[in-house]
Amino acid sequence: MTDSSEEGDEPAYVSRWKAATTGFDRVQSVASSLEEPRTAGWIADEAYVSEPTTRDHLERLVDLGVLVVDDTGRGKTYYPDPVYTRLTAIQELVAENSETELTEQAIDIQADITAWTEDYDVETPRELRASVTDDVSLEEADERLRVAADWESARYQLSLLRDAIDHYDTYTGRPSASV
Amino acid sequence: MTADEEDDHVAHPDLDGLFDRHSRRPDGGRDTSRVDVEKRHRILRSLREQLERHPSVVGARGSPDGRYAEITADVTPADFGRDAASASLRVSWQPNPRFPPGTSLENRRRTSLTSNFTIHYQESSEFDCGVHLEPNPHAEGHLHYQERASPDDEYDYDAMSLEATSPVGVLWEVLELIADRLRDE
Repeated sequence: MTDSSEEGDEPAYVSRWKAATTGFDRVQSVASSLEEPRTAGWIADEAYVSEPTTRDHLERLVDLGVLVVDDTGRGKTYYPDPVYTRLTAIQELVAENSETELTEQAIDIQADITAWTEDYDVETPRELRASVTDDVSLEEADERLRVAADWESARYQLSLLRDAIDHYDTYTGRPSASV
Repeated sequence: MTADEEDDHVAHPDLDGLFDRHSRRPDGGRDTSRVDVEKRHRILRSLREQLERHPSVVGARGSPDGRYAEITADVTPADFGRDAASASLRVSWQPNPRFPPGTSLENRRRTSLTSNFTIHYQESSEFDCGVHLEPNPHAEGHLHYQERASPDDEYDYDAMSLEATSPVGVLWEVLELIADRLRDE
């Protein structure tokens, strides 16, 4: 599979994807959304980029700290770097919000968590999932599992917000230009 | 209380109490729910970035309020062959999903994907449709297309399959599939 060949046979969505992105974009986006460590060959197939070019892109992403590589076991695999992932999430928060807005978001999330605690009479998402038993209707079970997942996401978002708020001045500080 | 439960415990609704600073277990393993939630957040951010590159998407954001429980996006209805005044997409992705008791995984036979997801299109006309990979008592198989003219109608369901297996590939393939179906109507 290459960037330029087989275009007549490729699915329509791939043509549209290629028209909107570069090969590097596709390799980076496939690698950044991995659900488990994958080889360059797997990523090349999913990104519709040749394997040699994909390897070059992946090594560049490793050098930039975007990906980590594991060269043991079943061959060389790639996976998103957890530190880079967390820092870019915080960077997005700081870039898109003032310190006041970040604090307001944290308070809103805290209110949601308090409401879930009261609505379901549990203290944690784990307890909420454990309340899904055979005597709960399917619709109620689906709802509780969805809320448990959203609750965990809310807690994670709070951890990002806390980091962004605690270090807001550092993250937004810019040196003044010399004249 | 186990170590995991201790990690999970929130005694007071103050911010400090809500931050899990001990995602690694005493035995050296990782708290899998913490790993899953980090993965979900990362994947949704990647999907948002890809949505912003799609020619039919006007803008995309984590929701609610930027917190990435899901992604919402404004899209151009005309690009889907529709004449509605406005339309939006809702995208969710859940790695390592928990299933209600009695859920048959036989119903996942049309896909090798292990996550649940929904990619759902909704118009100001109240028409909505989407591709979902999740249990639904009304649909045969977890991976399906569903569509209805308005919230007062029942959904129609169709079985379907996908070629892509990466989340971003699935996103582009599903958007093409939805556009094809709507243009054909």
